[in-house]
Amino acid sequence: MEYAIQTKGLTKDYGSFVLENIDLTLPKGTILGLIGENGAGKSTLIKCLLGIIHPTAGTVEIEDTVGYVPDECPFSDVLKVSQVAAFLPGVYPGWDSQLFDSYLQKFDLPVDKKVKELSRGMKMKLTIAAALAHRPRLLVLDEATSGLDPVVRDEILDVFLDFVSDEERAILISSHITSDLEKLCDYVAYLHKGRLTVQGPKDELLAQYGKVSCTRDQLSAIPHDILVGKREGSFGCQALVSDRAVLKRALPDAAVEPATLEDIMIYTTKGER
Amino acid sequence: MLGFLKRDLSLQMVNAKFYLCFVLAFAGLAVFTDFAASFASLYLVIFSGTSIMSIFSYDEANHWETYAAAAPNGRRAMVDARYLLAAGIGVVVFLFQLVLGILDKSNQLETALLYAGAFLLYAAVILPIAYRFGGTKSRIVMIVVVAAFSALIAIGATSLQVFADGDPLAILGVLPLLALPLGAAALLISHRISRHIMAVKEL
Repeated sequence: MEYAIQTKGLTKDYGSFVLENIDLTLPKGTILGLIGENGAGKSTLIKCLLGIIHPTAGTVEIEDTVGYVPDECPFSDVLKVSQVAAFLPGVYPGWDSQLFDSYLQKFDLPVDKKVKELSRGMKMKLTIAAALAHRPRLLVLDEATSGLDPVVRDEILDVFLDFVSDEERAILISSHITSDLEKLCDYVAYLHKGRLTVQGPKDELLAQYGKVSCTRDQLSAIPHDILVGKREGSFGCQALVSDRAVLKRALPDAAVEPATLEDIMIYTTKGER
Repeated sequence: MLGFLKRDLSLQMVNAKFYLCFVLAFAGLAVFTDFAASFASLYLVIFSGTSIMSIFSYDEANHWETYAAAAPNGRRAMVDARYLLAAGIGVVVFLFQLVLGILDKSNQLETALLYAGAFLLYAAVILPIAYRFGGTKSRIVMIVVVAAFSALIAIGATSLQVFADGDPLAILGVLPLLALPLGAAALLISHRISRHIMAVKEL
């Protein structure tokens, strides 16, 4: 299989919310960042991929061995870290106890403490250690870095980069923290109201998209097909465009700066067209 | 599946010390006083029934079922492990009553079979409900089931006292001997139902 994940027409219909017709690919050796506002369908998509919920339509092809890191620690607060270490080998075939112990050491996780005595960051490190210790081919993280301090996040991001370094493994990570994804990801997929609105190599997207500060007259001159979103204020206007080169040709005098993932998210969600 | 069973056992052990004190106290009373030996086992059955339900509460608190479903064969393995735990508790209840009988120098075989069978029957009813509705909602059902069981036992015992002079179990004939196989059969059927519930459940 060329891809760690490949979906075609993936749909999950809840009635009030529909995850609609998702075509997503994640090449091996890469990291895909899944972004989107709350309720956009990120967790629904991840659950469909992992078989936690059943899709209404479409197909999912995914690596056999998957390490899953949900947004909250799944291990009971009353258990000690050593008890978690004792039962997990029976849950995951291919469990590597030495590797798990090495992650516990690397993350400074005390084995004799109960899970409830660990901080949120430590709980998340424990969950990540558990996901990595059975040597998965794919790591899926659902808002796993949210709520962690920058030092812990940075430490974890290094582990992720190391994980994909052999070019055979891949990571799908959903997060609100777009700065982390800009640092980490090769590909970005943006979900908005259950639809995949933007998808592609991160560097290409960031090179293409641009944020322009302009007057109302200039705003009206922006070609409609490249206008992602706009904001009009009393002192001027701002707009996000999907093609900086086209904009430069249309408005040579306009001040254009590179867009961030956060810009793409905010303008797609809140900006008018 | 062994990993799931180990986890369930670890969670059971959290409350085990508390329950064990009660059961041993009643067992001591049964051996050294006129206190009926069957009461100790009855408490063991009640505690076991409560503690197996508490695992579902732990599952809910940490979204364990969602996490476990993403593991290889996770849905099936978590159900298998819990039924194995229930069957194991049934065996413990049976052996506990027999040992009490030996210490008490009384024949407790029929009572042991009856209690172990009753526990398995209870587990057979409550486990699919817990898988379907989760730990919190199914606690209400558990209370109804226990109340129904208790009412049946009370009505049955009163009727037996009326019809069987002094030896209520005698009138039951082979029923105590059938309790354990009936409970085991119910647990097997229940296991299949729970597996199906979890196979299609949206987590």
